[in-house]
Formats: sequence, C-alpha cells, structure tokens
Amino acid sequence: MPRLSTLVAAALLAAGACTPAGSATTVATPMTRATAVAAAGSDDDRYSVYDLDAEWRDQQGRPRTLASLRGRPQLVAMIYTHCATTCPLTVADMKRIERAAGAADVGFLLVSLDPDRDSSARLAAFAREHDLAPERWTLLSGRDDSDVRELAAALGVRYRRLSPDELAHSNTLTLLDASGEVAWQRAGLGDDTDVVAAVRALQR
Amino acid sequence: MLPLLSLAAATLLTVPPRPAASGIATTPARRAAVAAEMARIPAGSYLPLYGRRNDPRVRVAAFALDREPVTRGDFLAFVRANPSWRRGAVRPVFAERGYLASWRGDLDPSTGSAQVAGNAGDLRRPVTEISWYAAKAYCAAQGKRLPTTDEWEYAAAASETHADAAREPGFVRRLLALYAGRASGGVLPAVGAGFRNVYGVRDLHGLAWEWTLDFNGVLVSDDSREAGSGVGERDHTLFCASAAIGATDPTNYPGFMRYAFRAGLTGRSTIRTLGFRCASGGPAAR
Repeated sequence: MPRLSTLVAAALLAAGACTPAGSATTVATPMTRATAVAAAGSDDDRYSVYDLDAEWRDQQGRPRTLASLRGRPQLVAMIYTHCATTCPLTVADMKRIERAAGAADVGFLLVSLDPDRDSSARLAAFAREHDLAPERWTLLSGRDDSDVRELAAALGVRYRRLSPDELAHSNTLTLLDASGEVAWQRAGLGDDTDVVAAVRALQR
Repeated sequence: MLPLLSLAAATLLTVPPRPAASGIATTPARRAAVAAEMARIPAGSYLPLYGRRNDPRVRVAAFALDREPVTRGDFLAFVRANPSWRRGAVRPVFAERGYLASWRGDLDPSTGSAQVAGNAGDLRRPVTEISWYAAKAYCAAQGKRLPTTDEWEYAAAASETHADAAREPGFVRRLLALYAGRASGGVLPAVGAGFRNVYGVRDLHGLAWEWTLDFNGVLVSDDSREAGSGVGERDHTLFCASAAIGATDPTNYPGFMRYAFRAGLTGRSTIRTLGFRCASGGPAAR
C-alpha cells in the first residue's frame, strides 16, 4: 500500500508547497490549467476584486487600497518573500510574461501571504533583488491574516501555514481587467502563452 | 455551570474585538450574554484527517464556541443593522446570487414553507445560503470570529460523553446517518434539537455544514472551480484516492465528507445546506 506521506507530498507539491529547498524539487504538475473566465462565465461570475476594501501597504510604505489599481489590467500572484521554492518561479514566470507583453499597458501585482514578516522594507528589498520596476510592479502587504485571507478567497488562492516559517499555497496566477474582474486564471506553473494573448485582448 | 461561563467571559476579555461596523458595546451585560451563548472549549489536541507524519496530532488552544448555529432570526438582526449585507445590496465580490435566496424579502427571512410552523419557526432555523464573507462579517459584528478548521474539527470530535469520539465506531456510524439524513433535502429544522456534546455545543453534525475561517486552507486539491457548489471531478480523483490510501484515519468517513465539501467552496459560495457559528478567544487565527 502506498504511503500516506507520498500522497500528501504529491498533493502538496501539486498545490505548490513552499517547503525548504531540497524537499520539494519538482514543479511539473498535472494541475496546470488555464481558464478564460470571462468567456465562459455567467453573470454570477462577474464581480470586482477591487470591491474588497482592506488597506494595504506597498513596497514604498504607502497605504493602498486594491481599488487604487483600477485603470489597467493587473497580473496577480500571492506569494511570500521567504519562500524558497515556487515563489521565485512564479515571479520568474511573471517577468517572462512582462517581456512577452512588450509595450502592453499591464501592471504586475504581488501580494504577500505573510504580512507579519513581509514589511514594506522587505518587499522593497525583494523588488530590488528581482529587478521589479516600480512603474509596473506593485508589492502589497496586508494589515493581518484576515485581510490576506479575504483576498485569497476572492482569487481562489488556497493556503495554510505549516509552521511559523513555512506556508503552503496554490500557485494561482490571475489576470484582472482594468475594473478588477477576473479575466484569466491559471492554477499551477507552466505555459503562459495564452496569458499574453489575454493581456493583448484586454488592450483592445 | 457558572465557573465555566465566567471562564468564557474572561477569555473574551483578553481578545479585543476587531472594530465592527455595528460597534457593539462591550458592557458587562453584553459579555454575560455572550458567555451564555458560547461554550468554553478547553485546550487539547485532535487527530486531523491529514496530519503530519511525525506529529499527527494538532494542538488547539482554549477558545469559546457558539452553542448553536447562527439562526435566520440572528442574521435578520444583523442585516437590519448593516444594510450593506442585505440581499439586495450585497457586493457581488462577497456573495453569489444565491445569497439568502429563500428569504421572502431583504428583511423577511420567512419562506412560507408548509413544513415550518409560521414565521417564528423560520427565525429559529439556521441561516444558510450564506457566503464566507457574510459569515465572517456577522461574527466580527458580534465581537467574534469564525472558528478555524482545527477548532471546529476539534470541537466536533466530541460526543455527549467523550471529548475525542472521532474514532469510536458507534459515533462514526451516527454521524454518517446524520449526514445522510441531511442530504435528503427539504427544509432544515430549527437549531438546538441535535445532540449536545460534552462541551455543551449542539448541531455540529445534524443540521448543516458550517463555514470555517480557513476553509481555503485545504491543499489536497488545488482548485475546485469546476464544481458549482459541491465537489468537482478533480477533487474526487485527488481527494478520494488519497483519502482511501493514506489519511491518518481511513475509517473517518464523516471527516472525508467535511474536507471534500470545504474543498469545493469559494468565499462567495452560497449553499442551502451551509451555515455557520462564531468563535472567540484563543490565539489570533493564523
């Protein structure tokens, strides 16, 4: 009989557990999947993530609401800066998308799952380290776990704290249109050609 | 009973409630009322369905939990005081269109069902068709919060006589019968009729599913948007396969049902058989 640990490890890997480097090396996952939400959605799927009114702080230490991001599409991921495994890959994915998107007017948003440790200064250091241009990239940290969980629930991001240092979370990448409605979403890491198409579609 | 109540009140005092929209005064009278409607759950540990291999039991700190689920009458008072949570006004990001769908009006939770003895009967039924955001806002307005999944599961592992009955075959059979009865449809009965567990909490199993603060902390399945209101095919593949092979307790089918159900939810889900109750005290939920 296969072991529990194998199954749980497989499930957590598929969900993108940010475990210490070494214990999780595979990121290829059968969960990778993209959905053009707007195309298939009914009216009941139409809602703006920007209607969440929590206050956040960005990498410059400024208070921000999500509504302040209105006006251009935003590609969103929830990560945490101490994450050693999949978060850097998520950021790398987003930077690749940024290059492929060329001159398209799109913003990139990283929201911390770990508000206690991800201070504005920490987010600023992360942005410098990964060369994330402030004109395009917004990094936000919340007041507390409650606000983070509300946004995660709106984006369909699942996460749990495994220990004080470690979080497991799904690698969901979401494209919001200029008004904050979900236009495209992908669960897991992987192919990103269609997100570029989705970004271009929103420019029209 | 009194020492228990004062303990619960003391717990509440140590946790300043988040500023709530309705700004409920924390008077001694209010604290006493809160203590009466909540049961004190002592610290302990339980065996979650998916534990860590080297340390499968999870510690749960002491907290207080509502003795009964929140009723339609309770929720009516909340939407009276908080117009933005009325059915006709709720922001789409906070709830699907099924939100409070069976209410006759924004401020009328009656259904006119022949199975219910008048409007008063409706008021005592659990509020369902309620999103996670709405449940969370309701609890915050009471100076409370939603219970974490660990807290809920820990409290729900208790029978009338034992704190940890989750692996007693008789208890498991009873829960399965309760869940099966619940699934048969019809109008949900009034709260308070279910068995009273050793902590003095009722209806954790017999009435409706209940929201937890970190319902989206289940990572067995990455994503469940295929499922309108239940469990998608992907969940069955991942979830049930893994469940059959190696959860901490393969006989805990009621536990599997609860985890699978939560895995299919989004924060906006509004389901006829899903309600909630509030908790307070304990460490800030992570």
